[in-house]
Amino acid sequence: MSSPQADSQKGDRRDLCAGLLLCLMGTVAAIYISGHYSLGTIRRMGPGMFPLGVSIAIVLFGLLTAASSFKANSVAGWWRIDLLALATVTGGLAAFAILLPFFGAIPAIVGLSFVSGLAVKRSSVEVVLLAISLVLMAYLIFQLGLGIQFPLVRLP
Amino acid sequence: MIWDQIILGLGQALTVDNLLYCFIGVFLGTLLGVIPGIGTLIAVSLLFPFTFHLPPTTALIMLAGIYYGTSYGGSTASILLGLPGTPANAVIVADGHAMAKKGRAGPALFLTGIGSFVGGSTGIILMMLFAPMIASVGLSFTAPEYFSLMLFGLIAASSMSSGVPAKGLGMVAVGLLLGTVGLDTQTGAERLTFGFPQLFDGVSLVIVALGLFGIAEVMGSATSTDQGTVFQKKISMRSLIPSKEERRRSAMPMVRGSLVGSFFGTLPGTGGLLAAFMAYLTERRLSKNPEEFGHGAVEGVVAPETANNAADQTAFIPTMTLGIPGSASMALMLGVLIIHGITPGPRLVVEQPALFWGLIMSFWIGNIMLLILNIPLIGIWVKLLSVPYRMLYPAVLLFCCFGVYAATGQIFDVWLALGFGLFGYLMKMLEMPAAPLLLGLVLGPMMEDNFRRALLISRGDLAIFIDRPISATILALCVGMLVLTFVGHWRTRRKLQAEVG
Repeated sequence: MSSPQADSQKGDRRDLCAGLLLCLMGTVAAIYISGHYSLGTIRRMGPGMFPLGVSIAIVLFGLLTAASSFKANSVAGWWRIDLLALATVTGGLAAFAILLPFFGAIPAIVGLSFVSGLAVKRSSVEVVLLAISLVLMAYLIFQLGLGIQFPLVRLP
Repeated sequence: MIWDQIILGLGQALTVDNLLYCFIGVFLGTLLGVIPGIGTLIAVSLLFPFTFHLPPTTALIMLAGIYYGTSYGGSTASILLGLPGTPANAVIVADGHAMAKKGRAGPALFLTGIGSFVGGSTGIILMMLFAPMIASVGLSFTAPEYFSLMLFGLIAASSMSSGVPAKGLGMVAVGLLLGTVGLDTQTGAERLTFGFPQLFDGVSLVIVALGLFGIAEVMGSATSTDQGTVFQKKISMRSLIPSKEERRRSAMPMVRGSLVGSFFGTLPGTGGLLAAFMAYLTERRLSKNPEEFGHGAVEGVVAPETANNAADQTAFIPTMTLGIPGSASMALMLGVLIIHGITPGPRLVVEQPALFWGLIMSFWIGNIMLLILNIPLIGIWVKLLSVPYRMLYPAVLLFCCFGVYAATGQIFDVWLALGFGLFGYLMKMLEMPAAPLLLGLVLGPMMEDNFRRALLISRGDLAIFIDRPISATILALCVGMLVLTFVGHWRTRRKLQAEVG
């Protein structure tokens, strides 16, 4: 009964949350901006005027979005998060960011490969192969091909 | 007159460097386009940081090659794999894959290649004819007109995004807000930097694009095992040639597809996907056997791909001649130029004709390269399709990390990209469209600049936006567009309620 077209036109809890999120962001921004930056006058706009105007617009659109969600049916299961994918990708990127400045590129890439790779069941061979191919790819494409220098291994 | 410009452009386009990077661009574009899950936007975002060290014309040529190359490649996945290589290729999945199952994969691939070339060529010709004209009109624009025009572009682009129009508009506003982060050039104040010196120059476009599109995408699909059924039959050169009947039936769809695509490409907020879809509907409406559509009608494969490529090319027209990007990809192209210190717009066409015409000529070269590339390399693309996603996505993440890090050398930026990735994931859950955010981010600083300038000119009188006729007309169009979209959305909602309820 509900085609994808219908789903996107039907507002629902997603729109409510989206609207509330926008309202929240806009309000926080507006409060911060009006507290920290001078607004100036229309003729001589201070740093705060444009951001404040935009923040108010965000709140406005948030309200409109939330309002439009009421007359609609909800879509099932939209709030389901693939926790495994989310956690492993986040972990992998964090591993890269932490390892790179202290230990150099190779540990960082291996860390990225291993942690983000945990999302899928792999054999040990595949884990090793993946790490090696990523390191090679990074070296060949970025260091040699594009000339971007980075330390391969750093000793703490 | 135009002949001189063509020669000028060829002089730029035919340098060894530009030819090389054009080739690299179209090759990488096709490669990434073939892989399902990596669409045009992700491809351009992933590779765009690596163009920073190139001169602006070369960078743009390479990025443009990647951009229209991805839709050439994407159709291959649709036909052979039954999965779209890029979102815009989703339209031909049904008929294309059906043709493959009937043993007509070769002709399908061949005809989409030709169709893409025809569509692209039409787009380029239109660009050559109309861009100078549009640019000369644009030259009479001053700050108020620019502001209104940018506002119109943003409104159009965000209200055409799927879902509730207010959401799209809200996202544009968030993008505008993000654009204010950093040093305010007019007053010297540091805005929204929260004490982080790395934010002094603002939030980089690269970080936002890679985070929202690349990282967020992988976060949602890392565990996915969707592979589609690869069509393993070997495709020989001879089997590529379409039958006489197929050729005959493809001719008019190519023509119609080119026209439909060229039109939709120039509108902000619409692009390859809508163009392909409209072309498909047109062919089905005009066909004598509409029931064949969805089961291997060759018109349903050729017309959408032609339209897709035509739209890709004509999307450059408003971007280059007026500085108004109509889509996130175009916003990235705009971003590249701005980072290189070049502001696209009417002045660009007049003051930097070498860049402009060089780009156009390289479009020709790129399209020809794609046509030649795609035919012998089909075997490679087929092999590529059998790489499982679980091996691919770590590589995508690697590219994101290096793309971000290579651009600025700050590890802070990798964390920031991760943050945008998480935010992007939240956005996807709540169906908040990301493209308008990117557009707002790119256009925000320019809009504020023009707004301030306009007020300086008018000595603080807000009426300047309405006093000047062009600006007033555009603003009226803005209001009209808003009304239309909201009313249209409301009406559709009412209709659906009636059906469901």
